[in-house]
Amino acid sequence: MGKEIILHVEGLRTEFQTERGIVQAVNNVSFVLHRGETLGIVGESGCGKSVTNFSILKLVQYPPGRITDGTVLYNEKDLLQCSEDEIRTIRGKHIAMIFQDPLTSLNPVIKIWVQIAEALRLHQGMSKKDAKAKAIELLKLIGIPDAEQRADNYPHQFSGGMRQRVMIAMALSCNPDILIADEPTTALDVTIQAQILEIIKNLSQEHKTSVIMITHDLGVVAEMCDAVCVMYAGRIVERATIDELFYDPKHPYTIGLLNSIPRIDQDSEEHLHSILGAPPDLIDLPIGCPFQPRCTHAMEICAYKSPPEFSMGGDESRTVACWLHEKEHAHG
Amino acid sequence: MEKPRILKNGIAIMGLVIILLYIIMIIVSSFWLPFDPSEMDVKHVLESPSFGTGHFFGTDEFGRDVLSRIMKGSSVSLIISISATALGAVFGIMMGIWAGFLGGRWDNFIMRIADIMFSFPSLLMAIFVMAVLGENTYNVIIAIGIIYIPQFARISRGAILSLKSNEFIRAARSNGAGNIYILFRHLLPNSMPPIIVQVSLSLSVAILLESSLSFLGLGVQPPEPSWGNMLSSARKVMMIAPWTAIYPGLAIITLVLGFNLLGDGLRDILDPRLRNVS
Amino acid sequence: MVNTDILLDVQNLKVHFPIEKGIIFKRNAGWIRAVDGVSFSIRKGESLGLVGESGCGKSTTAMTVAQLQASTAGKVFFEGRDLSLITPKELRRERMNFQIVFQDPYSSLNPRMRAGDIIAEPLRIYARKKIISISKKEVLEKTASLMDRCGLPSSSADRYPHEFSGGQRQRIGIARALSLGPKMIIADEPVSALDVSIQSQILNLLKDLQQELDLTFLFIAHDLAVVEYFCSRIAVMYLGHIVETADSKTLYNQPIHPYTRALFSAVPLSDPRSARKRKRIILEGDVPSPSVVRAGCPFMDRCPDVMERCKVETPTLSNLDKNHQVACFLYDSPGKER
Ligand SMILES: Nc1ncnc2c1ncn2[C@@H]1O[C@H](COP(=O)(O)OP(=O)(O)O)[C@@H](O)[C@H]1O
Ligand SMILES: Nc1ncnc2c1ncn2[C@@H]1O[C@H](COP(=O)(O)OP(=O)(O)O)[C@@H](O)[C@H]1O
Ligand SMILES: [Mg+2]
Ligand SMILES: [Mg+2]
Repeated sequence: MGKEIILHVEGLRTEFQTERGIVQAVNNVSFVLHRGETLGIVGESGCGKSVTNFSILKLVQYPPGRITDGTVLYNEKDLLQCSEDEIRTIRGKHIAMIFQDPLTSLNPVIKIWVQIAEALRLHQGMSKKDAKAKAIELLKLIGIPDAEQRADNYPHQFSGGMRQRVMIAMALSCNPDILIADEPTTALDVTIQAQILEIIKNLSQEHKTSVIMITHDLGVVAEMCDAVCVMYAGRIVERATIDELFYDPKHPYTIGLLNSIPRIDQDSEEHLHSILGAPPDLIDLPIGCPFQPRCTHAMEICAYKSPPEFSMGGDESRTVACWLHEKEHAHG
Repeated sequence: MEKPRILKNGIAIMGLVIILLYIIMIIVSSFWLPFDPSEMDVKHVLESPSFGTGHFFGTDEFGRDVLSRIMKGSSVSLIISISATALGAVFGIMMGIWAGFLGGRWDNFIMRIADIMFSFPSLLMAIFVMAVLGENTYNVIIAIGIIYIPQFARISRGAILSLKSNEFIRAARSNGAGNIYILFRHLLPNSMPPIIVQVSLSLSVAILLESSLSFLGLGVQPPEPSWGNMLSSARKVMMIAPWTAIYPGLAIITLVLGFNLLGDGLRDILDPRLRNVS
Repeated sequence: MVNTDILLDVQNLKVHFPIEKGIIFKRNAGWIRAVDGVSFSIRKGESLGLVGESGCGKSTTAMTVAQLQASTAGKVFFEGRDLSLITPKELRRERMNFQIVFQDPYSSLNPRMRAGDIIAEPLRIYARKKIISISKKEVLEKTASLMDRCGLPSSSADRYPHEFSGGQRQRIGIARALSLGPKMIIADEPVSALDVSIQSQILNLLKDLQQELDLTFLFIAHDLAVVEYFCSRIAVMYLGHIVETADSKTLYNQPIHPYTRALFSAVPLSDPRSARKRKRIILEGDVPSPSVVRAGCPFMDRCPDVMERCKVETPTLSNLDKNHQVACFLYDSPGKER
């Protein structure tokens, strides 16, 4: 397909040095993001979603964190080789981020409009007056009532949902190419979540922004994304288009995950399917497949050899890291 | 049997060793001292430390043996520091728990009293108490203890308040547990870490406060030796006989360090979250 | 009439928290109407789900039902006894019958107690108060069997909470709640803090226990799908009021109240095809503060179908049919027969 690749992550590895040992938080993660696409990264807490996203923008704190390997190609430039100055101009202006907690990401003692305007002035060199006008315009865009008056408020006078909308306004103020949203609605209620997702969807469509949507909620993925990567224990275990993932999942973990969510639209008299055990400790991962101890289909090979990502039918965008699917790969 | 946890913690061991050394010194000094600490000897005034004369730490301006005086003074310093901390801790923790646990009006009332006490600089407060009560060793204990009460009250109240909102307290209530049970079973054990840190800090600050008071002539009265009044009298001869100031100073520093190390180590040991981590 | 089938009956419950101002001289600057006239009842063996957005008063309702929070008005009947009229001693005895499972698997367990002691604590308290008689050995046996039943390895009895994962901690909390053999479990968001793969394990455990021990549940969650799965009947709360109750199938198939409809349509569907097809109702604005006194329906400022009448009168729950109640003037207008 002739879709333009905007971000290409290849072989990313990030580890944390801790007292108990080395945490392999991101373990050989690769993916591509196309222009205008919304890519979901989904997985349970602690599987390395946030660290992946921090690594892309070199926001991993050293110590204890270290990006040990990989490339992140954006506009033919490897972000991981960029100097601190270069990457700073990319952050915010070309690749923007919104986080889970909208309270701690805003400065509590600075007025809302000033915080929005700061980003504009920093990256676009706007005058103070223009920036204020633009900030108010943005507030209107994201549906804050009485934007002129509310612009002078402080963050604590805004509700959680409003603060998250402000974060989105700030992130999108400079028309970034890529928006990374790290669990943007996890802290919010469903009706507010619906508002926020709608705003992200509309704004990204309008501006042709590519979105990386990080979430643990498969429902959010189904509503928002075009393609998905499923992460488990620091690796991508399955990648697929949205329909492939939901209607033809391959990896036992993905299948288990899909079956274990209670469906509101389904009758559920019987038991929920559940995956036994708990996600592994990223410190001493088993040498084989990380999912093997919980897997009901585990074979001999799974215990001692970690599966590579097999592409299904030769399609690079449809991969499964599971020995069960080795054959399909060979046939393709 | 497993090694007691304290022996696995290097920092705590160092603190413990320092404090044990002092305790041994106090025990030894109670029945044997190299010289009589208050015997003046005009022939050996301001002698520098030497093995030949037996004055390992030299002598002061009255010819008294500095080592013997430090040893004698150590028991005074340690007793003052422990008693004052105990005094402050007992009353302060009682106040703090009472305030934190009962909340409302009591909390308000108790904590405002603590605030008022807290608003005086500690040394000034100590000087004031000493001036009112008169200058002797017991009153030093009372003065320092009074300074500590609001500090302990605040720390323990804070700990109780932050614990009170935990759901395990609610769980206990839903299981019919009464106030006293909750206080002793759930609240106190969990508020120990900050209190223990405060205790170790207080022990060391008490030594400094005692020294300051004695240095100002308000604390332990000569001829009874204390590290503070030794420093005070060394002031006049420090330039020609530095050992008269250095050794009592070192004694203060090492004991203060010992308490701080022990406190730091204990905090880690008492936290079950840091236990059994391989 | 005393209906022997009804285990818990809550009538017009109100819980108002004072807003205090001033440092030395506290004065009352208003009230937070956390729960403002809530009525419901739960039959034996039934599981009633209480859903609603955060701050709508679910936990406050639960804690008041559990007699851990004083009510401002209203009554709570357990097996026909008014819990506000009994003596503290009787209340303690009564507490054995309703136990709580908390949301936060971290703060609900004392970090300084071992798992076995946490589970045995209720037994020990009641033994000490001479309400039950149980020997030390029996306590240990009971603890071991509870741990086993809740899927905890018996070897883990002397481990501390931090050595367990979130899901296992929640199992400890469940074992503790079961130790006194309660008739009713009040579960306040028991799976909200857990990952999906763990969440389903806990839901299955609770469901098994319900069948085995014939438990009645007051089950609180903000996740509609979870409540739909677990509960036979659902009550939807908004701003301290119950706006609609029905059995879960009816509520899902025919939500009536505009808020319930919006709530259901806001739930992200784990099914991209139907997600693309459906038209979502996106509510405007946020939940208003429960401290502002207003006349009218609590939902009036976000309601897409708001009428003049909604701004002056507060609708009360009325029967659509035997198992379906809704508090909305759209279904209560004078022209329309119920
Ligand atoms: N600063 C840190 N120090 C040590 N380990 C960390 C640090 N940050 C993250 N980790 C570890 O990295 C793993 C992945 O974390 P994260 O990416 O935050 O997960 P999530 O998928 O929930 O976003 C986790 O197991 C976590 O313990
Ligand atoms: N102890 C309290 N003091 C004052 N306000 C409270 C207290 N507990 C709860 N509230 C308020 O009551 C309302 C309902 O809270 P809660 O019952 O916890 O909601 P939910 O469990 O549905 O999220 C909220 O506005 C909350 O701020
Ligand atoms: Mg994260
Ligand atoms: Mg709650």
